[in-house]
Amino acid sequence: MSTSLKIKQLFSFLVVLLFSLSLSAQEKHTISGTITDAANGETMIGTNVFMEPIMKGATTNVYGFYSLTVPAGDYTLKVSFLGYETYTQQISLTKDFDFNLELKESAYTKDEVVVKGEKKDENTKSSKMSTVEIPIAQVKELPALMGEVDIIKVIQLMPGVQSGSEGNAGLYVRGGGPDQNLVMLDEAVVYNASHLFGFLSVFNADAIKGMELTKGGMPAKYGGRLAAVLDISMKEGNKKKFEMEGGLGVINSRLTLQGPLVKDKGSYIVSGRFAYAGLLGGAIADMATKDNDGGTGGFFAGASYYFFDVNAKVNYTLGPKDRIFASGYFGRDVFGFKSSDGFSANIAWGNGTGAIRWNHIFTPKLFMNTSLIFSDYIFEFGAGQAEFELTLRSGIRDYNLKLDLNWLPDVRHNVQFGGNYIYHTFTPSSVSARTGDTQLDLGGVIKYHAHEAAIYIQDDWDISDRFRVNAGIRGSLFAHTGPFDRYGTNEVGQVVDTTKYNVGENVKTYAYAEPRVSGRVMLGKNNSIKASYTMNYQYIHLASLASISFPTDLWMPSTDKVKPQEGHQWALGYFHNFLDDKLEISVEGYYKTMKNLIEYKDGFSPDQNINNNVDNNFVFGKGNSYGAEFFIRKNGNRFNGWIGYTLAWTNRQFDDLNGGNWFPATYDRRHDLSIVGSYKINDHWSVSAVFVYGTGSAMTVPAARYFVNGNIVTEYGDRNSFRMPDYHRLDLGATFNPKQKRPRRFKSTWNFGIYNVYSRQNPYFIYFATKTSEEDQTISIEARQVSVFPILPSVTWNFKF
Amino acid sequence: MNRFFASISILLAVLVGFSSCEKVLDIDLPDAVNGIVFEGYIENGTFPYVLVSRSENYFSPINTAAEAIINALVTPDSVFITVDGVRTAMDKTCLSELSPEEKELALEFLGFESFPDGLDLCLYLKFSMQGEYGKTYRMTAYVEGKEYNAVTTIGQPVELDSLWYKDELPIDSFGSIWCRLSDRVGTDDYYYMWTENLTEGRSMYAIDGSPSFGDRLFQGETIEFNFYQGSNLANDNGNPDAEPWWFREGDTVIVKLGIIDRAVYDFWESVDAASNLNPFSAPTPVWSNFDNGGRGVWAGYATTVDTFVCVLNP
Repeated sequence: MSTSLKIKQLFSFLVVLLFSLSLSAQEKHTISGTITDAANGETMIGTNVFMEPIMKGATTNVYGFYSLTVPAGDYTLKVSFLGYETYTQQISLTKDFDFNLELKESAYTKDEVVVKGEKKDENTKSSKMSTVEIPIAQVKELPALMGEVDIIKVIQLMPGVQSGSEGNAGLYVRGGGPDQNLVMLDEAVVYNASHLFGFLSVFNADAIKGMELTKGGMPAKYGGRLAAVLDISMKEGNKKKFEMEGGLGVINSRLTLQGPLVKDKGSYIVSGRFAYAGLLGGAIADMATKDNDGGTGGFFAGASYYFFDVNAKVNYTLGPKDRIFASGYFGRDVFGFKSSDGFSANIAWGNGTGAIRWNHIFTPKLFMNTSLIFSDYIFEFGAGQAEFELTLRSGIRDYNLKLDLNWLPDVRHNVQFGGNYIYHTFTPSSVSARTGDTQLDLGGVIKYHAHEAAIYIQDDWDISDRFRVNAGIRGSLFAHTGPFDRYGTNEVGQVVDTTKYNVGENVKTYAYAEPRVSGRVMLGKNNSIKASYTMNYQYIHLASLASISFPTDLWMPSTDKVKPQEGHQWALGYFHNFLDDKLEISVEGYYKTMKNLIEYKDGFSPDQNINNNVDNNFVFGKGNSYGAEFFIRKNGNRFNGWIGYTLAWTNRQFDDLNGGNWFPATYDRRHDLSIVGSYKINDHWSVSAVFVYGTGSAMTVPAARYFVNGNIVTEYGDRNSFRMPDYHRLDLGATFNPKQKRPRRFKSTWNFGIYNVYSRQNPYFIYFATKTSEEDQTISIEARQVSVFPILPSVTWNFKF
Repeated sequence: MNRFFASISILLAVLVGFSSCEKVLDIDLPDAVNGIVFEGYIENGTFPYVLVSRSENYFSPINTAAEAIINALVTPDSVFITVDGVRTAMDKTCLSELSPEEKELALEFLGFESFPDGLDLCLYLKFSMQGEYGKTYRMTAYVEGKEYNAVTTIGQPVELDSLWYKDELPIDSFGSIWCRLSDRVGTDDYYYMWTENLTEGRSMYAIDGSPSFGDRLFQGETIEFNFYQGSNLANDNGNPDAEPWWFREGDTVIVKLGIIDRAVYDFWESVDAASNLNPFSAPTPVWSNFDNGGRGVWAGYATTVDTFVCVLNP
C-alpha cells in the first residue's frame, strides 16, 4: 500500500470518527477540574476519576486536569490513585460542574505498603502500548552507581531500552540511536542529557515529579524523532509550606528548596547539584589515555573536573481557568587539564532550557496549554601548545512555540490537537586557531538556520468496552534557510565552488504527513491485545565520531544534501494483569525500518569540516531493528519489582561503509535481561537488588597488518563483526530511615549501595597494544580490556525538613 | 564542614583511582584477507624502488621488525615504471648480492639500523632511472597473476625560508627545530617532513606524529611550524636516554621537506588516522593509490634539504 493511500485512509477514518462525536443527542453534562496532592498542592498526573454505575472514567493530564461528559443523572464519583485514599462522593449531575480535589495520601501501616504513582489497570485498558512509567519514589529506592540516583539508568532496566556502555546514561530504544529520542524536560528539548562524559544524566531526581518513556506507538502530538519520547515533568513546588531537602553523595551534593509564593495559589522550587571540583578529572583522563604499555602515566596529571546543574520553576494560579508556569534548567560540565610538556585544554559543555507555559480552560471540555520554550546546548573545546592555539565550538539553539488543545467531547473521546513552530540555529562546528602570529583561515563560523513546524490531531476513542483506538495524523514541515554557503566539492573532496544563499532564502524544504494509530482489544476483564503502527520523520541528525554518545557529537539539520530520517514501526503486544492488578505481564514484538541515517565517511577527521560544509563529509544509509520484549512487574505490598527480557536485532547498511554490506549497529544486543526488586522490611529498613545481563557490544577489530615505512599499519575486519564479552552485574542497596523518638520536622535517610557486588570485570572498551621488547626486539600485539567499575560501595545521606 | 568535604574527596579519589582496571583478552579475530602491499618511492635525483609484501593476520607473531618485513615479502612476476610514455622494467635486487659496503648503504637507505644476519631482503629498483621534478610515473606490477597500477607525480619543490632551534621541555637542552614556510599562492600543496640526526647517527625518517600536512588552512600564507625527530619500529634502538621526539642542543640534523600529490597525502593521512584511534573511534581504513585491491603507496617526493645545527638563539 502506498504511503499516500495510507494517509488518505487515515484521514477518512478521522472524519468518520469526528462525525460520530456529534451524533449523540442525549442531554449531557461535564464534570471537570484539577486533582492535587493534599500534602503539597502538586498537581497529580494520571489520577483516575471514575463514575459509577456507568463505569466510565478519565485520567488527569500532565497538568492534573480531567474532564468527563456523561448523561445527566445520579452518580457515585470515585477519585483514586495508588497510595492515596480513594475519594467517593454522590453527585446528581444536572448541569456542568467544576470539581477540584485535594487527594490525601493513605495512612502508612506496617502491613500495607503501597507504591505511589501506579495506575491500576491502565496497562491493559488504555490504547497506549510500548510505554514505560516508573515512579520516582521507586527510582530512589534502587541501588545506584556511587549512590547517584539517576532516572535514566532505571529506565535502562526496562525491556527494549539499553545503555551505550558501562555506566552510560545514554538511551538506545528498540535499536534506535541516542539522537532518535525526544528528551524533554518540562517540554523543553534537552539535546545532551549527560554529565561526566555520560556516566550520569542531567536529570536531578529531587526536582522531578514524573516521567514517561514512549518506545513505540508514538501519539501524533509527539514528533521530530524516530525512536522514542522521554517526557519528564518537573515538580511545581510545595504550595502549602516551605520545604528543604538535600543530600551528600559520593560524587555530588544536592539541595532543593520549595515553598508557596502565595499559599495555595503559587509556588516555587529551586534544585541544584554540584560535583566536587577537581576530583574526577584525573581518574577519567587516566582512563581515556591509556598508553601503549597500558600505563596510566602522568600526561594528564594536571586534570580537574566539575559539573553543576540547577532546576528552577515557579507557578501561579491566576484564576479558576488560568495558570502559568515558568521553568528552567541550566547545567555545565567543565573539564580542564595541563600536561607537563605544556599542552593544555579546556572542555565545557551543557544545556540551558527555559519554558513559559499558560494553561487555560476555555470550557469544561476544552483545555489548552501554550508554551514558549528555549533550548540551548553548547560544546566548547580550547587547546594550546607552545605557539599553537585552537578553539572549537558547536551547539544548537531553539526557540519553540507550542499550542496544545485537549477536547473531551464525551466520555468516549479524548481529542488532542495543536501545533508547534521551532526556529533552530545549528552551529555544527566553528573553529578558530592561530600559530604564532598567524591566524589560520578556518572559514569562520558556519551556522545553519532552519524552521520546523507541525500540526497534529489525534483521538483516543473508546469505541466499546472491548475496542479502543488512538488514531492521529501529524503534518510536519522543515525548511533550511539562508544565510548559507554551500561548498561544492570534486570527487576527491576538494572545495571547487560556492553557492551563496541570502538571509531567509530557502535552501531546501521538506514536508510530510505522519499517520499514527494504535488499538486495543480487551480479551477478558484483565487481558488485552494491542497493536500500533507509526510513521515518523526526523529532521535533525547527530553526527558522531565515537561509537558511544559523547559531548563532541554534532547536531545537524536536514539540508539539500541530508534528507530527513524516516522511520516506520509496527508493534504487537499482549497484556495481562493478575492478582487484582498487582502482577502485570506483557509481551511485545516490534519491527522497525529507518532510512536516511547518517555517519561520517571512512577516514573522516574533524579538520575536514573546516572551510567546508559538515554534510559534505557524511555518508547515508538505512537500518532495521526487530525484537521481542517480555515484562513481568509486581506492584503493591512490601515487594516491588520487575523482570524484563529483550531479544533483539538492529542492523545498518551504508553503500559507502563496510563494502555496502549490512552490519550490526554498535548497540545491537541479542539478549538483555534485567531483574529488579525492592523489599520493605519494616518502617526503618528497605532493601533492593538489581541484576543485569546483556550480550557484549559489537565492535570492529583489526584483522590484518602490514608494514609501511617500518611501522605497523592496521587493517580492520568487517564493521562490528566482533562481540565484546557479555556484560553482567549485581547491585545491592539498602535505605535506612532512623527512628525518631518524637515527630520532628527534620528527617534524614541513609542510602547504602554496593555496585557490581561480585566485581565482574565488564568491558568498557577494548584496545590493541603493540609492544616492542627492548631486549630481543620482538614485537607483540595484544588485546586489552579496560573495565571501569569493579565493586563500588557507596553511602548517601539525605535530609528533608 | 570543610573537613567533611575533604574527607569525602579523599574517599572519592581512592574509589575512582582504584576503579579502572584492565586485563589481556584472548579473542578470536575475524579472518583476514591477505592483500598485496606495495611500498614504492621515487624522489628527485634518486632511483625508484619498491618493496612488495603481503598483509598478515593481525596477531601473527613477530620476532623482529626486519624479520617480519622479510617474511611478508612477495616476489612479483614483474614490475614496470612508465614515464613520458616509456615503460621500463625494474630489476630485482637482493641484499645478499651486494658488497658489505653497498649493503650497509642500502640498509641505511631503507631505514634499518641493524639487520639480522642470515636474512635476505629483495626489492625492485632501477638504478639507471632518476626522479625528476614535474614528471608523472606509473607503476605497473604483476603479482600472482594480478595486475596492479598506481600513478604518482614528483611536483615542484618548496624551500623553507628559515630555521631555528627552540627549547621545548623544562628538561635542559631538549627542543625542536622550527621553520618558516611561504606557501605558494593559488595551488593546493601537500607537504611531507623528514629529519636525519647525524649526531645520533640516525637514518632519515619521517617525523614522528603527523609527517604529512596540507595547506588548506594557510593557502598562500607564511606559517611557522616545527620538526620533531623521527623513528620507526625497525630502528628503535631502545636507548632510554633518548627523548624520541626531541633534538638536543648541538645536534646536527638534516631537515627534508617534500611536496607530495593529493593521493599520497591521503594515504599518509589515513595511516596517521588509523594509528591514532581512541577506543571509541570508528575504525579508519587506510587508503591506497593502487587499483585492484592493492595496499600501500607509490609515492613521488619533490624534496629540498637543509643541514642545521641545533643552537639556541643568543
